[in-house]
Amino acid sequence: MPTLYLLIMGVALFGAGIGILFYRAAAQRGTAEPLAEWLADFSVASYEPMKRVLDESEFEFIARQPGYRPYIGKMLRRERKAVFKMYLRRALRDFNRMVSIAKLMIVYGEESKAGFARALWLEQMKFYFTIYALRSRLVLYPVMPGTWDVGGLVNTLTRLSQEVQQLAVPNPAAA
Amino acid sequence: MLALQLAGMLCLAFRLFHARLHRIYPAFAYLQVFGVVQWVFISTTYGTPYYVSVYVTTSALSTVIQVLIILELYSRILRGFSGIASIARTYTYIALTISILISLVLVRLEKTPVSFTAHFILYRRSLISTLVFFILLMLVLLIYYPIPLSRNVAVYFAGYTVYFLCTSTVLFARNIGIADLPVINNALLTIPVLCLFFWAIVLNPRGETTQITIGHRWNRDDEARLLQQLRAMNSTLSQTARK
Repeated sequence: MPTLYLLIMGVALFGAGIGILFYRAAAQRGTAEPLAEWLADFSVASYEPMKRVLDESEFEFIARQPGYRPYIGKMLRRERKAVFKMYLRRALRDFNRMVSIAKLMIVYGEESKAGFARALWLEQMKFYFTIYALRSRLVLYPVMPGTWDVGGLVNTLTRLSQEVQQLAVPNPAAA
Repeated sequence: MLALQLAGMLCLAFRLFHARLHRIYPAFAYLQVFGVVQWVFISTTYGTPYYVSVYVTTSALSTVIQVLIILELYSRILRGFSGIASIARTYTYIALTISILISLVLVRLEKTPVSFTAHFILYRRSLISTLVFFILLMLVLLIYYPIPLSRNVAVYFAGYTVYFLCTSTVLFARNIGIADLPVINNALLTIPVLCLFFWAIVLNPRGETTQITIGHRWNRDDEARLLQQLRAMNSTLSQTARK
């Protein structure tokens, strides 16, 4: 019986932990710009440079240049790490804003969007997990460099952006 | 404290009927009327052989009305939002299942009841705990989706969350034997009094037109502009599609 209680407590604590992490990630939205204007100006293309920020080939290229010193490489990596962190923060904010718009469309929609709502929830879980995984790896950078594949994040933003646009198109059968 | 409870129910009943809120929240309003009747019955039979029967019968009826109140609250929250109706329906079934399961797990922790009254308190605690977890899970839905609520519904919701949470905790503490009976009785009398006066003070007709959204810290003007833009986009695209 005590094992059962411990198991229940463990499951409850794990669930609470996941809930807190989810809430913390979802709460980052930023309110500087009105959403309507932000949606009109949003472009996924602005995330293209993110794919190259921590690209090892760039550091290797710099290292081959005349006058290179190890401290230059360290400084560059530190700065690039800060830039990558900013990109992650921005990606999370933009994703959350997109999710907020999608939720508004779900709530105020005339037709049920249960399938989309379910997919949106799964996208959120995957996106936040990716963000947390990248942040955790970033803590150890550059001790553990490796490749930084952010294609998944950018693809998610692209897909969500397209889905939000599609939600605005009414059902052709109803037109 | 009993007198305060009666005063609270009378104040709240007066507030609801005077402000015509009883037409919007009939179960809630008539629960107060029933509460006054229950108070009269319990006060007059206290110390007599009929007390237990009267307590069990009136408490059971009161709990059934409280379940109806939760259903009334739920229907008010989702009224007019057909886009989210099926999502909310699925979520409700899941929330209800989880609530019942948690409540049943808690039963295993409680002492085996030996008397009729103890059995009744156990079942009542289980039902109220189910309502608590259900309300908390519905709160998660309200935080996740930007569903606008009238201020009165939010006040109603908040009051019942506190009421059910405190009542089920107090009954659970009694059933596992970690609190003395006078402490339980005082808590069971104080919690409803506080909730009654909270509702009597805060509920008003203006609360039906004031809208709030739980858990979404947007500027309301920003949201309204965005909705207007989305509808304009929708309209333009539908016109283009018809060409």
